[in-house]
Amino acid sequence: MKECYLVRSRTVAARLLGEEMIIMSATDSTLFNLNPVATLIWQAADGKTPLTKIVKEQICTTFDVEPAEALRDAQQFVLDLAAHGILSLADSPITDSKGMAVNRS
Amino acid sequence: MPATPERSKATTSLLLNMSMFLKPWHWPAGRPHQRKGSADSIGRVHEEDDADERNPGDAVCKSRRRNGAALMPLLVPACEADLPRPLITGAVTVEIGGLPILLDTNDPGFRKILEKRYAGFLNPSAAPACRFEIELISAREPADEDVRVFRRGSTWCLQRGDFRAEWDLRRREGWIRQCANPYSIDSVLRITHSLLLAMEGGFQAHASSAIRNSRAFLFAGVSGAGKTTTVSMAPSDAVVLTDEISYVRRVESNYRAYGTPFAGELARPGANASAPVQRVCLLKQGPQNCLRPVRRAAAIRALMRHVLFFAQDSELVERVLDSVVQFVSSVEVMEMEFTPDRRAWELVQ
Repeated sequence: MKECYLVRSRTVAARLLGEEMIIMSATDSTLFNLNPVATLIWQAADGKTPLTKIVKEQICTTFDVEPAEALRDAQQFVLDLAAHGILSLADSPITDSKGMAVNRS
Repeated sequence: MPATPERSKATTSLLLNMSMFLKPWHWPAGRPHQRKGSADSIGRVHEEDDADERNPGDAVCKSRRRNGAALMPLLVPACEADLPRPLITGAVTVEIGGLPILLDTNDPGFRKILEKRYAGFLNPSAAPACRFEIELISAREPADEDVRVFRRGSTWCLQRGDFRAEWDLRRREGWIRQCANPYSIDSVLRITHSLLLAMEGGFQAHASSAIRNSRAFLFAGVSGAGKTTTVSMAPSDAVVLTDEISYVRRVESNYRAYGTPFAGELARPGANASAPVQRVCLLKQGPQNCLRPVRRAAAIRALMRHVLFFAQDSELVERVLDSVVQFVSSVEVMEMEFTPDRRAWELVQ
């Protein structure tokens, strides 16, 4: 399976509240609330780190979950976010992107 | 020793259901003119979530740094020559929340409509924050088209079936093209105020509000939760600010709620008064009267559902989100279970 790289959209505002991330899309005024696991993925979405590495080094070291299971859920999650336009996905590192929203707490 | 002693087993199920914890909903962005039901219906999906997220041990008044402080102001300071001209014949200055907007019409009949509709909020001597020339046209498309608010350079463009408007931030003036329908001018005013407020850290919310003991209380909830009912039961010592659109401004590091002329089911404008915000009550009708703390994240989500904002502009969206985060950190946000009678006001003081 191809590697998946992900980067946050710039057209969103994201704020960390405790362990939860609140994300607001400027394009369609949609509000998203990420749980702590999803928040880790969001924060690691820098366009350079592949999803497999995020899952292995961030999710599986923090949460008690099987790697394969975590990766499967993470893949579905990033597809969901990409469908809403708040993440961009690519099969190679993303260097020239419109992305990288700032995470503020 | 367990293999992963530091890992949180409790969150395993969250991971398995990760996508289910992705909770989208929409701002009430579509129809600023609509009354009860339009804004709230959007948030109903998550109505039950808030109860789960209550945490009685949670403090709801935490200090917090202002995220929006570093953002550049969007409102370009105008030089004196650019400021709107003072009162002219045919003009009506409507001051809501301390922000005067001059509406200039050459139609005496429409001027009378404006004076009647915004009576109590007229301030002919105020220096307007912006000025609109109104051009009345015979008819436009129906008002059910979604509103579009976007920026073109320094000009904000406001469009809906029943009106078109443009507002130049630098010159602080613009025009409105509409038929002689007071709901259209209501909408333009609400949108303009939403932009002005967003630039300075405030917001409008689909909520009723009132002043009691010199403090303001906001009552927010889904359609039918009791926003109008609450203020209609207000005791004589309470001043009703609105039964429809609450108006919140940041004044230094505090927040004040102001009355608005935008009437809901009560069909009467609010009082032109203001007070520091004491509490936001998330309404829930029930068999008893009580207040329950709401976790900050849940409070932010609940409030965002009711914030009126229409612009497709990432910088302003960021500001509004920051404003709500800051606001929730500065005031009490409580769930207010209430019986629909006057005893509920024992909680509002």
